[in-house]
Amino acid sequence: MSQSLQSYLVISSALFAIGVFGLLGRRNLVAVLISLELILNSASLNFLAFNKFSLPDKSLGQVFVIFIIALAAAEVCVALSLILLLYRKKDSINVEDAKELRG
Amino acid sequence: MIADIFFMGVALLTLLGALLAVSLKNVFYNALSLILSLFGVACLFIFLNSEFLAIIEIILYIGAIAIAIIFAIMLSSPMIQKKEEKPDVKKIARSFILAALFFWGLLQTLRRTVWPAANPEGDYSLGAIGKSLLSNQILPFETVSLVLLVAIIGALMLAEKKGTAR
Amino acid sequence: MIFKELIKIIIYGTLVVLFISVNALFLVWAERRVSARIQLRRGPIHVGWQGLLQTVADAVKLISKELVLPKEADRFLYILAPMLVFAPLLSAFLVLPLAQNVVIRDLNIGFLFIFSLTNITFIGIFIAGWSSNNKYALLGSMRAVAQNISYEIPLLLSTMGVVLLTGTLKMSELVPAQAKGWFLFTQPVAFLIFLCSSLAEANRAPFDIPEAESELVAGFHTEYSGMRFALFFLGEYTAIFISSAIAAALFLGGWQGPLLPGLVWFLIKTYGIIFIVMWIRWTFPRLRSDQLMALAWKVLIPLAMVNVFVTALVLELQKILA
Repeated sequence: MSQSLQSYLVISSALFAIGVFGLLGRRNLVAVLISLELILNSASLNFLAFNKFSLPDKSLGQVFVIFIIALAAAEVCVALSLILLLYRKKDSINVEDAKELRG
Repeated sequence: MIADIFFMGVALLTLLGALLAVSLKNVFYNALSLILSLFGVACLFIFLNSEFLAIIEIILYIGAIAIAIIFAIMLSSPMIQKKEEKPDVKKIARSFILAALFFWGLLQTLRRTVWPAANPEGDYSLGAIGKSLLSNQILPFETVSLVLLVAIIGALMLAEKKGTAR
Repeated sequence: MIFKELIKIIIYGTLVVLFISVNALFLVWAERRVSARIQLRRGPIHVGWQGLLQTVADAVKLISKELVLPKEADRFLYILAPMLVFAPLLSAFLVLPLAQNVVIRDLNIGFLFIFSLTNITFIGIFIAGWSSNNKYALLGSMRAVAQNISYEIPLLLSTMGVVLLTGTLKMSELVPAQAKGWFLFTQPVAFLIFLCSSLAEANRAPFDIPEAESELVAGFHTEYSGMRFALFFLGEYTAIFISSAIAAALFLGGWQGPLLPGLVWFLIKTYGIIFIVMWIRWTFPRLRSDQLMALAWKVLIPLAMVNVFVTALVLELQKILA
């Protein structure tokens, strides 16, 4: 497989699909977060692939990926503190145990 | 030729890491496979001429985000393993079908669109990124820093134990 | 064509590994002699001339020890961890500017490459602590990782002052830019912050809580013996060498000097900084874990940011007034 736009997009679609599988199919909240990181990475890969092959201004895609990484860091920060809070209340981080809408 | 072999190898490594990250039972192994996958993605960034972003990805994603995830695994996994839960086959089958549908749909869209083409050579340098961040893209730059500030404050306030002195 | 490149890779790899081993041998001996002089005793003087073969004797002893695998430990991760700690440091030799026009790979991103690879070292330290199934090792590795990621920020920020002055990250351009004056004199605060942070990154006293000998048994390498322990040790001394080499290249003018060839000046300056590092180890008491964190977040990061701000301000004023 040679390096072309198609091959990069196929790789990022595969990463996205694997991430979606993990997001919906895992019971551990931290595993769900890990799958979410895979999805964000596939989006960054997409941006950079288009940056190289379809965009004349080469700095635009890279700037966007910097934003994606920064926002992923912020989101992981908040998500992890929520997970810790949930663990303190319910003593488990199983997705099935967090079904109530109260507390 | 050699570059293509390396490219295929790195792509396979990334996908292998991703597959392990969603399928292994032990959550700690999932986090380590995520690190493997992120390293593969960083190498793919180098293939796309963005070396600075590859370094940033390793420093931030592997060096900060993945380590934070590992800390959370340590702090939230029970010391004594509870009894083994049998896997929920229906849930896994549903999500597999949905993921496969997504993949198939994306592939079909890929094959049928004619993407615009541009010259792969250009100014990928760090100087260009810096100038762009502070002139054209300054609004998202400032907004992202605000979002980071709010996220840090929010995370600290959420995780504070009750009764700590303010 | 490819065959020639492969031969080159093998030769460079062998040279680097040989250098690391000789360097570690020399540094262990040097540490013991320096600490002995500071503590008013003699140090190893019997084995070989001036005790130089002492480390060889120690290495032979270490290699002959039994490789223990703890019973409940996670086998794959336990064996993987020392390799993860040591391997990235080998590739850090790719960007060191040894002499004029002698850099193995002059990357556009220069020294940031090394700092990104040290993150993989931290992952290795964490895996070492976790897979040993030992609470002292786990505590030691958690503290080590928290310390390392905290001190990475002032490390990177302090080098930003130098990058602002020269406008480039490439190692081969940062060294000749100091021909008119070393960056030690124009960026003294940055040099001190860099030295402090690289001491903390290498888990070295006074920041050596993770391997504190009197507190946590032996920290994250409690359960390791023989060759695996030797790999951790090699990793630590190589990390010190690389940090000192970068400090010499960025702040002390690298290979520039009057009479001797460039490589000799580079080694003199690097080992000079290593001597200062060892001196610091045997002079200051160890910092407590929370004092360590407070130092990084409350003192070093604001100082480094102020340094970058002042540097940028002075550069702009120079441009306006010129």
